[in-house]
Amino acid sequence: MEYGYPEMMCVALAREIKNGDVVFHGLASPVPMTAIKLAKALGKEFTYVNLTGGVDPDISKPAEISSTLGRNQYEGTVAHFGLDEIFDLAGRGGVDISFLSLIQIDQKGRINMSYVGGTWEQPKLRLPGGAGSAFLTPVTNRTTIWRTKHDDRTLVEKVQFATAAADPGKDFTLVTNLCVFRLKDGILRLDAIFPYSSFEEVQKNTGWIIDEKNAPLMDPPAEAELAALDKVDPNKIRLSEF
Amino acid sequence: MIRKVMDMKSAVNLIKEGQLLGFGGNSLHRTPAAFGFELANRGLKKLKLCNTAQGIASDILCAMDAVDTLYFGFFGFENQYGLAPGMRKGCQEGKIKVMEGPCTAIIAALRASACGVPFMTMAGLWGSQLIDQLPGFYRVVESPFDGTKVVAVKALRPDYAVLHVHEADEFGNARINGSDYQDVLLSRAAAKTIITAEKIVPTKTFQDNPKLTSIPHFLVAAVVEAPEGAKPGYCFGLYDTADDAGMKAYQKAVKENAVPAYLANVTERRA
Repeated sequence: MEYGYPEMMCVALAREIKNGDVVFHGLASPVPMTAIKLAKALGKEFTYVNLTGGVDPDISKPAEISSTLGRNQYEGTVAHFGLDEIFDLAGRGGVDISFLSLIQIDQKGRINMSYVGGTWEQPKLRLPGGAGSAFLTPVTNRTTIWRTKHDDRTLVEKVQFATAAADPGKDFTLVTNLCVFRLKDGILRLDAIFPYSSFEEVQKNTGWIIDEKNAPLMDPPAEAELAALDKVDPNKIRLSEF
Repeated sequence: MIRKVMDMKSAVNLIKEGQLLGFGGNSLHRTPAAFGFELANRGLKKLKLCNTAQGIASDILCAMDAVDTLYFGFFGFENQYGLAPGMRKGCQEGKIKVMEGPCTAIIAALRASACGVPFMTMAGLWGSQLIDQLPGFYRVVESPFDGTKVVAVKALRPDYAVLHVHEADEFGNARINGSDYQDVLLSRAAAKTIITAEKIVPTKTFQDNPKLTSIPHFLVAAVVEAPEGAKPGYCFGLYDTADDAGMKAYQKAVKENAVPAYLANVTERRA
């Protein structure tokens, strides 16, 4: 079965989820939404909360729109547990994974979602803001960042502004369309390269010098993972981020 | 209970220059677009807008130079509809002051107002430069009990919350189906609430199941019947896909500096 960036990223993110976790994503998150449903379809037992407040959306109702606040994220769920309650839960240490995205990130896990160029008062490019990131990153047990376009404008040596920042004492993972980085001693380290990529490609598209020349290739998606992915996402909503 | 049904123009006329408004919904979901369009026609200036994730109702006011301050955690239209063009333009021209939160900070600020205290403390936020960037919104304080450092967020008290709901009666009792996002909190944090509703229904609808009433009448200043009032955005269970042509027309209008013509077109069609 064939696969590309969207499938590899969904599979890699699904592999981050462990039995017993509480996982969260917000709006504009088609890839993590699909990954979470994939993990459920593969039989993992965990709790899925999302911005609409719906607890454990029914994975047999596939997404029909790329907004991740769609009807199927709420209708037929087992409970309403609103965003304010999810934040409270995270604040007291009860959220294991928050799936967050970004516009820019640097090697220390500092995330920019605010502006690029110019000043705060008059930016060259005003970005949409970090949504929950600045709050969630320091309180979530395992912050998991996804970014569908790995290039050296995104993975930069130093961000101009840190909207949110990784806590060096907590797990922090960055999954791009090429590879996986994990924070070790406050520095993002290359952990695994996707089977279709290479160290050279990752380095060429990253704005800092990567030391981990011997980072392993990740296992490609298994047939069972790809079959489950098609089942939970028949409308291929995952492609909307690419 | 006092009858508060009025037309959209009368409700919009309650708003005064410089006021702080909290539009409900989240991004394009249940954004009070019809109200935002009518308000944008009025030509008010220096409005201040707050909510966790703002949508087209806020964006068109930015595009019309009606806004001088924005409080938000996220301001964009999600995925294929991308960044919010009016907000970007206003910010990049230096006309709009951004008080960015994580959404959690906006919630904390509204909670402070809802329970009548000047600020609310919150967990997290460490490492974010937002704390130092915006001392008018964030301060680091110590617990008076054990000295633990926490971030305090200043209260946000909207003059009006403006919420688009599924059903309301003529007195302002209102029901939201699907996610209520931060709308219930906004109604408690604001001085008064304006309701735009897909449908006006009999009060008995609420009496039959009071637990399903999202906003009780005594918080409400105005009720407007506004079918499809969140279009070109979404309204749970009624229109679950975005009005694609409407979104594209809006984005084109901002890009080509043709927002007044766009506005005239959409408000005329509603009249």
